Amino acid sequence: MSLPMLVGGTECGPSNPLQGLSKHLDNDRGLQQDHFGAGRAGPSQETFRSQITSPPSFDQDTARFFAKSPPPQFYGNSPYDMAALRGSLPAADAQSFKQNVVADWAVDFLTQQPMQASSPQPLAAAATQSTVSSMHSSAASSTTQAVNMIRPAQVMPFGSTWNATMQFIPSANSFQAMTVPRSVLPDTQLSWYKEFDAQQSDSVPTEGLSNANAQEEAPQSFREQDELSRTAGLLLETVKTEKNPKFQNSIFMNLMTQLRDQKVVVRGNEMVENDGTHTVGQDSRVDVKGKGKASDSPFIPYAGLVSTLGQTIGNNATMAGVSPYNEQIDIQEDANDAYFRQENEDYTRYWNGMDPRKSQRQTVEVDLNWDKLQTDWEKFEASTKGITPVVSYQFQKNNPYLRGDSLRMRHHSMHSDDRLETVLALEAAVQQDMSNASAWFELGVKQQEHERETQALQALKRATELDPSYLPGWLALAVSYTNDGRRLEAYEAIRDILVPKKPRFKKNSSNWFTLAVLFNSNEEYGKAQDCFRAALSIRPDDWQLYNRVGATMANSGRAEEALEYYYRALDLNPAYVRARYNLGISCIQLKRYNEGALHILDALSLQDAEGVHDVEGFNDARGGITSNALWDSLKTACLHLQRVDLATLCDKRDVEAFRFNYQFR
Amino acid sequence: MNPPSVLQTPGFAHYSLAWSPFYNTRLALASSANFGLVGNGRLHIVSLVPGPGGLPTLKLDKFFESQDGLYDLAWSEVHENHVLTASGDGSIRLWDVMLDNLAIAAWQEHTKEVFSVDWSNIQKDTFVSSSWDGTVKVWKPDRPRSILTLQAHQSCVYQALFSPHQPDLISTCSTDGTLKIFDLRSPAYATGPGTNSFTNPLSAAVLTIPASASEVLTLDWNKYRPMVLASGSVDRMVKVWDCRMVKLGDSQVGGVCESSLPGHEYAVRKLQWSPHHADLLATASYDMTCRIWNTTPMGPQPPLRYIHDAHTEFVVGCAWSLYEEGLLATCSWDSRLNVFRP
Repeated sequence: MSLPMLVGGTECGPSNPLQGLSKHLDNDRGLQQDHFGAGRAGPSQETFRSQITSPPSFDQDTARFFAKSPPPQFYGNSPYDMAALRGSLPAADAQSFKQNVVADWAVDFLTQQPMQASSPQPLAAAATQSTVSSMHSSAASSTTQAVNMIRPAQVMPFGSTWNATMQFIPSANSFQAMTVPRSVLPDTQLSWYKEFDAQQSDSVPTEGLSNANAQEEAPQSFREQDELSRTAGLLLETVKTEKNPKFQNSIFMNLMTQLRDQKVVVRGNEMVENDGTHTVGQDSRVDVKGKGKASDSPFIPYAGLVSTLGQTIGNNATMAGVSPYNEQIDIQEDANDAYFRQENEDYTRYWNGMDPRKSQRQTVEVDLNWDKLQTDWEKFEASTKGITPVVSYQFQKNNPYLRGDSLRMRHHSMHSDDRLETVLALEAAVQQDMSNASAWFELGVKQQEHERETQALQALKRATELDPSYLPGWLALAVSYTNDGRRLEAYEAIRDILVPKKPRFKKNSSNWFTLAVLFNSNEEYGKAQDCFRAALSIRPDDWQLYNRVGATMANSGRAEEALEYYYRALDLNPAYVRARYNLGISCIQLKRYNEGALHILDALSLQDAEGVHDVEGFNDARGGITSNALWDSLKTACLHLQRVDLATLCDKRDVEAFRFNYQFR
Repeated sequence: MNPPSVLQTPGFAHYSLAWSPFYNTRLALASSANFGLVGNGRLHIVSLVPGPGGLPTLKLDKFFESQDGLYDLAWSEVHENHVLTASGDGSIRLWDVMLDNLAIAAWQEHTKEVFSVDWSNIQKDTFVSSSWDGTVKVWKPDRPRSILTLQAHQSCVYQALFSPHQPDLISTCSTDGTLKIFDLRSPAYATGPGTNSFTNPLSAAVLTIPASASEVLTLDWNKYRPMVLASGSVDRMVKVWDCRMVKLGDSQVGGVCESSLPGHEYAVRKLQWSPHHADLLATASYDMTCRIWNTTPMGPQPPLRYIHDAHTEFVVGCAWSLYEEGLLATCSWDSRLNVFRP
């Protein structure tokens, strides 16, 4: 097993193979492990729930990280795996550590570069989300930054300290106002991750940057050695009580002893005797400081095993890694110094690189910042869970309906049944009367149809705020929450509907539908289907209902049947983007990739037609705002079709270009 | 009881062994340097030759060097000189024992160590591999890429074996403590709590057996009774499972534990049913012993029949000879291969 394996890949397989062995040698620790794993993931999930909008390319890692079954969760992602960091964002865990670094150095840098302060999280978020949702997440992240800033100061979150931390927030938001070209992001992410990699929250806060640098190639060997020796130590612990003389005389056990005592170290592809060039901190064997803080588990002997399994690898490495630097070993120290220099250069280059784009606007920004402060303050509301941002709906600019092209409007209303057909028209209607709950509701529903979930959510929230008694609004809100995976809020929304209705349960379609949504979010797909069918029989022309039934079918694995429902929905409303998108997804699931790609392309074209054509080219996405989910699914389909060229084209988010290339294969 | 025939390969700890299905005296050993922690691997080809005093001795015919440690091997069922190895760098290599030095084919698709390979006895042109990345891949030796990938588990899959009775069933075991049976005719994606079809799809197992609260390191199909499996796990138990309730095309949790065989003092690392007797089971364990069990439930005698204690390190592999009834080979981290008659 070669050294790269020791360094990288720490999911279930041991990052060093000894771990696998020590796992096996132990007594049954299943329950203990569950306990530990659950305790660990809890707080981070709680805090960061609102901001898990990680880019799709990172989804696999994040999804695995949050995998429900405890043992694999336990051996979960290593956010500090350098190889995996290239292009993957380990969601909550990394963030929890990143924040603390931000808290420290951010004070210094924030005044100079307000834009970059709220770094990797909004960077990563902005990369693939629409501006609104990224605002949401970055604001959330900056609030958590703010919260963490407070903690060291040991002040309760509310009160005067808020003023001190307010400067973080406009920086986050002003950053979002800029559209960062996507190509910049991967590089900047990488250098950021290098810095934020594995910072122990309570350890060496002042060394912030230099410690962050201390993760790379030269110091890595220390980390590995330490993990190896620690794991060896643990292994020996478990067989300590073994009376069998075979174990005493075992060569393997001797090797473990030597590894633990650092008499033998791994060098390159072999094990060599340690002739004094590798000296690690004396207390590496009983490095309780790092482990103790990192783990809340009462099972201290196993803590090291846990930590080496990846979740806190970086922390302990830092802890152990710090001491060698202080020890002034000749060869390795030079490598470290050289590395620090390199890192600092990269770092300064990165900051300077960001500057030219913004230097002109900086002076203006500073003045505007104070204005923003006030408005941004209003964007947050304090709650018991922490600070949650209040997001407001972002209307599309240059809305022709607002500009008073009333001619256009009149024509449309003559041809249609007096319902406003397009998103733009609905937005105009809302902007003309911001307190009209039903206008917000219509807008929200339209956005849902067009797969713009976040906008739909905001609009529907406004609608329900303005008129809590408007039940369809709650229903639509619940649907949006479900689609977003936020079951708790979906339940709450539905509860608000059902509770008043309990005494007189009428058998109408929306009640059946409500029940169905409830079952759906509870994953009782069979019952959900029955309710859907009942609802359909009452309202056979409701295309949204057909789409929802189809989605239920697809989610319970019956993609073939789902297709029929989608087609029916599209018969009734050919412009129904969501149904087309779902159709594409189901085709992909059925391995009909060509069909799926075509459907998604159609959906994208429909969305494109809905947007404002921006003459100045202000928006990066030409034309309308196309939903990133659609693009990512299209990319998947292209990859299945073995068309990598098309897949990379998807990143450009250009419908015309894609269609052109797709047709002329 | 005669002493075992021993072969020692200094410097290389063994990980797995297999008898050739074509030659009744040929064995292959998958080995790694430094107990598999760092360094190279070796594939040893060994023959059993009659020696002095009528006792068989073991002779090392040749060995092949590999870049990374080897974890498992499987002889080809179509070609008498081909053998597959599973490697720590995620690759699977096919070797021809008549040639020297290099493998004749290599497949690199797994993203983590490949921990087991198995060649199908029924469909002689298919083999399956399982890896620590949680996937199980099905291959054909003449195809450059895998035919099918099953997202079998969320964590390491320690072993994946074809059923000797039905051509499309694969059984896997994993760190999550379950045994799963997959039907290759209809792989579908599982939905349910804890799975996310888009970002982390999990293949739907036809049967999931919650075998243990700890990791299940090994499994084997009974050669005579269809749908009977044995599993060995870190909690030192060997369990025999009856899976006849499986309904192909459906996805369920089940498995009836026919018998539990306690006795090992540490994790059970490998087990194999005898190809000659329906109830004879050999197990290898980290307690440095290999034990033979009779698994007839409610039998008159205790299940443990024999303890083979000759190894001085973890015993990681055991295999019954396919031609000679009652002949067992075990390999261990002490670099020794033992062949004996328990």
